[in-house]
Amino acid sequence: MLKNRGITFKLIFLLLTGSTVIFALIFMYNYELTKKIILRNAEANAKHIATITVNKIEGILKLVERANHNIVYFIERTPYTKADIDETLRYIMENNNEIFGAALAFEPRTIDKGLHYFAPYYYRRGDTLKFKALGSENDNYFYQDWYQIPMELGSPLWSEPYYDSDGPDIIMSTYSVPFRSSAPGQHTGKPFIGVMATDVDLNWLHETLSSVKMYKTGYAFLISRNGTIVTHPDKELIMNESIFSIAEARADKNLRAIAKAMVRGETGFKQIEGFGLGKGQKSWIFYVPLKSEGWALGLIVPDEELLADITSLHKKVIALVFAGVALLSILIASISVSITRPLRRLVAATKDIAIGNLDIEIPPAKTKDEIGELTNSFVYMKTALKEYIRELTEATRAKEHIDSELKIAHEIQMSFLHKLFPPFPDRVEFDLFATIMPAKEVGGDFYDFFFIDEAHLCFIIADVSGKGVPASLFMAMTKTLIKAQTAVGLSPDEILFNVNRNLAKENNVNMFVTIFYGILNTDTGEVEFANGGHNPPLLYKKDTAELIPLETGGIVVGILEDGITFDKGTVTMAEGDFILMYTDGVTEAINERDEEFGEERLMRLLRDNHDKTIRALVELINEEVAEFSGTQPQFDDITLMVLKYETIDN
Amino acid sequence: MRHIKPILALLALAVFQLAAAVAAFGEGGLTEASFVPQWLPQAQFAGYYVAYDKGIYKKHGIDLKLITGGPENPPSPLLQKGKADFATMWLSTAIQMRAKGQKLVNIAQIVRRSSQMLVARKTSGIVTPQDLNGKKVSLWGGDSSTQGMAFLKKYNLTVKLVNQSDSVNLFMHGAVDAASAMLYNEYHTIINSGLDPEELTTFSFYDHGVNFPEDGLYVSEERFAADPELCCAFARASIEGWLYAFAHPDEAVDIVMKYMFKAHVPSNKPHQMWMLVKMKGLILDGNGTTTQIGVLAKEDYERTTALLKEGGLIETTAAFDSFYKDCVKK
Repeated sequence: MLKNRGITFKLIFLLLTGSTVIFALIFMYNYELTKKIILRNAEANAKHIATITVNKIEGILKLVERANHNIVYFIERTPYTKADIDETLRYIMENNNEIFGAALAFEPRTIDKGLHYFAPYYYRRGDTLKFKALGSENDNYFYQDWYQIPMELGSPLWSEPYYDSDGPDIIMSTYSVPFRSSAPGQHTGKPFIGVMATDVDLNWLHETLSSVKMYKTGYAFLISRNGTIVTHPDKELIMNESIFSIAEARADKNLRAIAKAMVRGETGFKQIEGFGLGKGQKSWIFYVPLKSEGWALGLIVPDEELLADITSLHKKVIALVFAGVALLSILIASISVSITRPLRRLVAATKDIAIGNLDIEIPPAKTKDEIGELTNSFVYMKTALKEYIRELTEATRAKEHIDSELKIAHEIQMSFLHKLFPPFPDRVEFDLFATIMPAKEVGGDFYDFFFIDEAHLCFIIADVSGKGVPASLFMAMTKTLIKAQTAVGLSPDEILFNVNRNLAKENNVNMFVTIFYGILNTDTGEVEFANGGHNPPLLYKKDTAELIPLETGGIVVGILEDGITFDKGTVTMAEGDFILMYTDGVTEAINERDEEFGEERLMRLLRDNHDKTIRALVELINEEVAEFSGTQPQFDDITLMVLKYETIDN
Repeated sequence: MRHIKPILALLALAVFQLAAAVAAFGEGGLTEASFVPQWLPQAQFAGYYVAYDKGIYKKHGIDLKLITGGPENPPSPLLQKGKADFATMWLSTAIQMRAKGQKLVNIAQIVRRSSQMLVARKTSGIVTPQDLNGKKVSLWGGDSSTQGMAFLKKYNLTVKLVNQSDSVNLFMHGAVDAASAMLYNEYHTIINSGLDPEELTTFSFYDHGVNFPEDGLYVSEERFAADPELCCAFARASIEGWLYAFAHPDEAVDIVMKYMFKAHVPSNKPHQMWMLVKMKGLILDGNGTTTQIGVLAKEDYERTTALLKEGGLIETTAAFDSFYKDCVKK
């Protein structure tokens, strides 16, 4: 898929994918890190606000506690009367505006043996101070929380907040301190005899907490020891719901766990869902205990407000990333275009060159990079190709010229040779047939025959060393020389001697020639011959069916000038005898297995076909040689000549 | 200090006056009657509030005045003084009242088994009843303690008894080791004060064979004799109210909370829903069928009277037939 796309696409695709992944990773890391930092700061901030708020609340509650303890300190050490108690309660009410009501409640029959209940209570109603004697059959304070629990525990206690009897809008809490008798008891030390209780109107808490702001809509709330909501921006929750009931209504186990931690007096900073917000809306809660009351303060900040800065920051970062990626793609595109444009031009140029247009202009390289080098190499290649093709064209033309000349040379050479058979139709004493197949256009083999006088036929077969033009020239020279040297009265060996001397004298190229020279006496059938290194011709004797090689001593002709002599041989042909002359192109023809045609094969052919006409015999030998060679190229000229003696005259 | 009395009295008065005003306009064919549940409005009485709110009493020919109950309006004196025609009471309370001479008859036993229990923290080492020996245990005062005492006696336990008020704070502050709780109320309050059920040991009196049927509907013998049709119509309308509440729990809880809000009783829906669900289990038969709803079984009556007698709380017992008038089967 990708591999079929262009370089520009690949570059943009891979680089953008890669850089986007890197950007994304950096972004996520950055997001987590900044989120962590922001949360840490938010926690510190919340802790700070919570501490201030708690100190403010406890500052006021501590005043109440201190006033209460002062009274207890007094009544546990000093003897007092009912009037003293009344005065003390009035005093504390007049001097402590924070206190809504105060009571000194006694155990049955402690201060007055006749009284089951004794609990004078002063409380505010508007600006006036009111009095009430607590305790009756229907209002048994002994079993009310504010009295009973500190009594049972033997320690001071802030009660669970409750609605004041005077109005459902007033939330109260009572601080109760158990006290002992000022006089020792009968059995144990100083016996427990009552509870000093001070009521506080908690409505100012609502004001204090509603002034607490975190971010936009973050708020503070207060819960009692049992988790009951004491203050909350949502007034419906106050005193009705507890943080546990909210958790239950939402089936929110996380919130319940936080609620438990809060009532246990722990401090924490946790993420929650909802709670005073829409369901599913995440927020953070920081909670801290009010130790002496057993209450807990919670600060809620919606997640999105907490992370508003980081969100806007990251929106900007994402915008920047997109802009960066866009810029990067433009850059990559322009780089890749600058790379691919020359490449594309080269591709177009290549197509032109492929169809032979070497004159096409290749735009010069503007850079020295790989593309520049490639362009330069391309220009060089084009120039080199052009030069090569020019040379090739010239060489071809030259070769064509030579070929045509060779063709002419061939024709000239062939014209040297007798082509018409029978050559002497009026002479019935003999028959003669010859063929020549040069290996190249021109060859070094030749045959010749002519009458020296009426009764003497001279016949020659020769093979010049080498092939081609030099051989053909040497052959022409040799042929002319042989003809010139042949004269009446000279025997073949003498003629060859002369020919050798003449050839060797000016032979600077060390060429040589093998020559079989024979003279037939047409009257007698007698043949005189000399052999200058040539393959011995084969004489077939018709009456005995034997094959006699015509050999004499003598070496090749044309190499050595001095001391070279040739021997003369003489045979007599009877009627029907014939001499086969051939060059080594026949016997040394090789087949595909590198075997030579050989003399044996030639001799067998002769024996088997002696009764054929000489033309048929020569053609048969040529066919056999061609068949033997098969596809092997012809290395040497193949020349065959047969002279058959027909009758002896008279 | 807790002074709920004046508002409640005021409220009760308001309800009276409102009801009187409605009656003055004359509801054609309806018989006037009044009813007081034994405590402040909550889902423990959902059936009656639903029947009232949905007009079921009217459908049964009753123009009902609903008196807000509570500590300031104990039902038995209201019945005795004729300030209320009908009231809910625990069976044990009613038997004791009857033994003391107040002529009451039961016209329906709504809560047919005990839902009271003792609750303790597992961390205080209390797992079996024997573990309560020597511990501080709080019981509600009056006849509410009867079952608790019977439970302690059954296991021969010696504990330090503490009088328990209507809050669970004594227990929550750790001032007592075990406290009384109703399954449908205080037990859930404890859970929603931060203790998980897994952290608690509970001794349900029902499970431990100290089983007092609880809320029943009562009327004076005299009133019943005068108009048994009205009394039974009230019992049947109340049961219909309960069945409606069980079928429509959300609506029922909303109705109850409406009356709680009017009475300035703090409330939250999860707690009231919990209460309604538990009431359903206590009112219907074990398998959730309604065949025995409202019926006081003779053996339940006899077991309860026997236990009360044993505890020295009563000396005489009324015959079952004179105590219980079966309005449901009719």
